[in-house]
Amino acid sequence: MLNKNKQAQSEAVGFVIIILIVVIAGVIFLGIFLRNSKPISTESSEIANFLSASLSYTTLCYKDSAGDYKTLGDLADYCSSGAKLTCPNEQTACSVLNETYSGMLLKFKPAGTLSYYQLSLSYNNSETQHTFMTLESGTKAGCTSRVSGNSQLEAQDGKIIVDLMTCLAS
Amino acid sequence: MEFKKLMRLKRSNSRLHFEKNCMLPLTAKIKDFRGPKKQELFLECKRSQMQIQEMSFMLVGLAVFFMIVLLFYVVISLSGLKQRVAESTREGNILLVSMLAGTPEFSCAEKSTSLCVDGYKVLALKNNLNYASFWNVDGLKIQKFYPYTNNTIECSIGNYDICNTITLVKEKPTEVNNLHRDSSYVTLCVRESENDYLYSRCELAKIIVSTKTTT
Repeated sequence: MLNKNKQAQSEAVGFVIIILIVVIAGVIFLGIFLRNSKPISTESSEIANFLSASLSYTTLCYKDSAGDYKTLGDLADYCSSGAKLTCPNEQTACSVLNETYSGMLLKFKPAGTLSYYQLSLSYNNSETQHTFMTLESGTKAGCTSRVSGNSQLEAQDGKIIVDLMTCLAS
Repeated sequence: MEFKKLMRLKRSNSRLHFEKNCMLPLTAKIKDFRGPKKQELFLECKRSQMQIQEMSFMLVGLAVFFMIVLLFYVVISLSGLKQRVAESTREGNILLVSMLAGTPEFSCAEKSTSLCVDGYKVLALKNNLNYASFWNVDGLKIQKFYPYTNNTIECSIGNYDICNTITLVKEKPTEVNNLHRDSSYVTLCVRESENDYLYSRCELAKIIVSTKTTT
């Protein structure tokens, strides 16, 4: 009788140990899963609209004479090809492009708290693809969701793709 | 002799019933079970009952465990649902606002993009009160975004270069707190000329639509 009781007790202890092991494994798995979980990435029409509208912004750079002013999209084309433009304060197309986008992004406030952004402009055709400008600011730490968007425009023998990735903190 | 036979039969029936159901039949008495096997029978029966009990506990435990796991999964998967719905609604509203920019009343004649708003067209519309009911919104304005000025300067034909806001439908002061605002980035362009060049001077702007919040 005593032996039977002991056997029942050890069975109960075994059952409890199994449950404990399963729970601990579950907690560890959940911890790893939550730690490694990547921020939610979404495409935003707000960002796509922002980029699309920004490419039509008129700068003070011109080709032949004042009045023939170029848009930010044109500047991206000139910057990627290295062609010359006349800009205020003898700036290059690339520096005006950089300066203008920096100013725009400083005022850009998407829904949520913007903790980081990366803007990249790249030239793409059937043969080559190269990124000719990257602008970034802020910190990626605490990034809970990634919101991105892009816009593109026709350029000489190819297209220019503007990509903006923002990181929103909770 | 007949009586002995009857008793034997009763004992064997009782034993069979006991082995089958672990219960004594009502007609049986404990003394029907005699000999060394009596205690062994009882113990075996108890052990079987115990095993059934253990199995049922285990099954209940497992069911509870899986229910907790399922509940946990449902809670985690539903946690972001509200946020996703809000984001989706916002995306829809942004698209609707940007579609408004593409209507003939707003769009630039010379640009192919739907996000181009003609500044002079909008200024002309500003003083046309009939349009306030045409759009069926509680507020509609276009605000220059870049280059940026902190103070709100309402635009008119004479001050276009230094202003930053074109209000088409003014929000009623009593409703300001009950309004929901959706916006989309657009290009605000005006046609200008310099050195015989006719060009579009475009600025980055936001078209903001206010509607009453439905509760």
